Amino acid sequence: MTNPTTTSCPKCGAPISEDAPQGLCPKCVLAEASTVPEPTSSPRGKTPPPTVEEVAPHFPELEILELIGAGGMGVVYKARQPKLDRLVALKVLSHDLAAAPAFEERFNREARVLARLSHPNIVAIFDTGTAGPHAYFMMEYVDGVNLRQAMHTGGFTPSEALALVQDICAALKFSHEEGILHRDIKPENVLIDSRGQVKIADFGIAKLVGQDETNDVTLTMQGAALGSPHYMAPEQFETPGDVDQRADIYSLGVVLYEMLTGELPLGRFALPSEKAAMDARIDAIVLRTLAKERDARFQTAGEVRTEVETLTRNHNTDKSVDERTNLPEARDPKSGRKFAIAGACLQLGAVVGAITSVSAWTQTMKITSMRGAEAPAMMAEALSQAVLASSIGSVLGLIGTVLLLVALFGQEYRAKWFYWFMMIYSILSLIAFPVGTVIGIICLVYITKRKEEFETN
Amino acid sequence: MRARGDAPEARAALGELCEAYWTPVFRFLCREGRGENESRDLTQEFFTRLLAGSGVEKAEPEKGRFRSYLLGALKHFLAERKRNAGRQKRGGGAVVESIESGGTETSPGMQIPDPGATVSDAWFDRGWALAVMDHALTAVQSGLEEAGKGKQFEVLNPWLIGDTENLSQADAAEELGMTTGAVKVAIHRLRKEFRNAVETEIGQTVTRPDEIKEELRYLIEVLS
Repeated sequence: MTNPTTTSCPKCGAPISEDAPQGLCPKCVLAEASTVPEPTSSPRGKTPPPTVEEVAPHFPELEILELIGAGGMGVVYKARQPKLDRLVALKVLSHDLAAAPAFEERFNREARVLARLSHPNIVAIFDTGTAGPHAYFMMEYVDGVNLRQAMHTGGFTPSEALALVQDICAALKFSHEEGILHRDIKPENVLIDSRGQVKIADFGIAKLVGQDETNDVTLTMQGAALGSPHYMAPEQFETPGDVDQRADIYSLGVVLYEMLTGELPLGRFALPSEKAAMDARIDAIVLRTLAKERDARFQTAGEVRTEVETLTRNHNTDKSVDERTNLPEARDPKSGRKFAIAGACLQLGAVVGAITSVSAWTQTMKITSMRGAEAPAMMAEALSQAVLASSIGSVLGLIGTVLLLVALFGQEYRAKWFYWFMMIYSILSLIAFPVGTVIGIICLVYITKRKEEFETN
Repeated sequence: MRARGDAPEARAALGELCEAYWTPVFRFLCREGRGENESRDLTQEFFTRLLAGSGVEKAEPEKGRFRSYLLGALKHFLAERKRNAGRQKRGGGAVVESIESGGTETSPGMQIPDPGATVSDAWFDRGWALAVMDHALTAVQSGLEEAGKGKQFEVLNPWLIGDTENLSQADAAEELGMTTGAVKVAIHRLRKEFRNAVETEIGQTVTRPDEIKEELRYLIEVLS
């Protein structure tokens, strides 16, 4: 339990009765358990995906374990490869080989290119081939969730989203340099494994399945509709034959916008910082990835990454700029302590000075009543002592006061001893000096009002 | 429901179930105004007689969910006790109608908490819901502990209530020494396991798998 003292549910706010198992709100827990889990991807085809039993005969070298996802492009099964004792993901493409005789050759050619993509942030392809009427990819099995599911698990803070974007950019930069476009970046294709590592799946598969070499616009539009129109760059609809890496950058922008706001950037969309508290400079990055004209976008994934890195370095991107100036990091508790201690020491020096001065004055008073030859000399000496002590004391006190004020107001130093010191100091100031009256009242009011700040530090 | 019929394994299954739902029965008896000791003895006696198959013949497990069955059996048992006590006191004769012999007649169809029912009925069902939740939690917890992930369960179980901004995944990540991404994966998985555990748990107390969802809905409703 993060907070064992909670007696009300952090979700519904209802009080939690003592008999609630593990101190969790029974109603919220059972209600959550009754929700239908988010499917990995929604089956779109009219025909139900082939069952494990139907697929298994085509893959004698694999143990097909379960169906883990079905989408427009194909069906994914979790399987075990007994020979290597490893789990694999088997993606069986829904594209019918018989319907497009040239497909097989093109598929094999493309598959060889895709298999070249070896990168920690890209789901590796182990093998490809054909099974019955279908082509398949055997891929690295990622034990985790996709970004869509992760967004349903509490969403992302801006800094988490930006961290993920950096990893996605790393994968895109690598593949773009290899000359491969993803063409279908969307939350379902961005996986997070159980160690929190980002893995991008389905590189280039959209092109294989959705688009024919003839670049027939109608056919492509069908392919596009099969894919994920919300994440596609405008030119993927308008000039599908002329698409480059900047299309992936646009899709990445949509994903980033969705992670930040929970919504898609449709129509005249609001800036992310208008939807939630975050650094307004994130807006600039999002807008540049989502530019309708690709020339206005970031030109490479590397550029996006650099920009995001610059932004996240040394900055808390989860706060707006106004808030950031007041962040606790802006104050250095150590220097606050230095100011407080130095101020306190000087004040003690001032007190010693004052006492010396007072005693010297008393001496002077005594001498005034004395008669004798040495009286004037003694008086002069005592007087000069009194003046010296009081001026040294005043200077020390003045510097000390400045330091204390810096510690109190400037550095917001909050130690318990400092509270009591300022309390005594204020009272003494009130009694001692007319100027101190003002300072004393201000400090007294200030520290009394903020007593709890001293308590908690 | 494995706990059907007279076969020895069915008896054993019934025994397990009864053990699991000891607490709701005990709490119900307490709630009716009995002392703790008396309630404990009575619960014990009730289960002993239930398992021995005597005195509760009228309660038929086939006629509904195990929850309704057990409450019906319990009421029947209490009524009978009362009748016996009365008979002994007055030298027999007076026939006291069983308070609620209809308790087992709950149709397997749509159930809504009956506002006319005694407070104790809802109390029993509420206790039942808590017991279901407790068993599912324990099952998930021991599973994770076996896998050496006991700490994960401890830190992440607050997320079983669903998504709320009042819980910090970043703090949990720090506590577990994981990345926030990994924490999200772990939470997602924990919820899935808990969902399965609840279904398994309820699955033992209903006759058909398609009743699980409905029973869960009812239990949620009874908690509000």
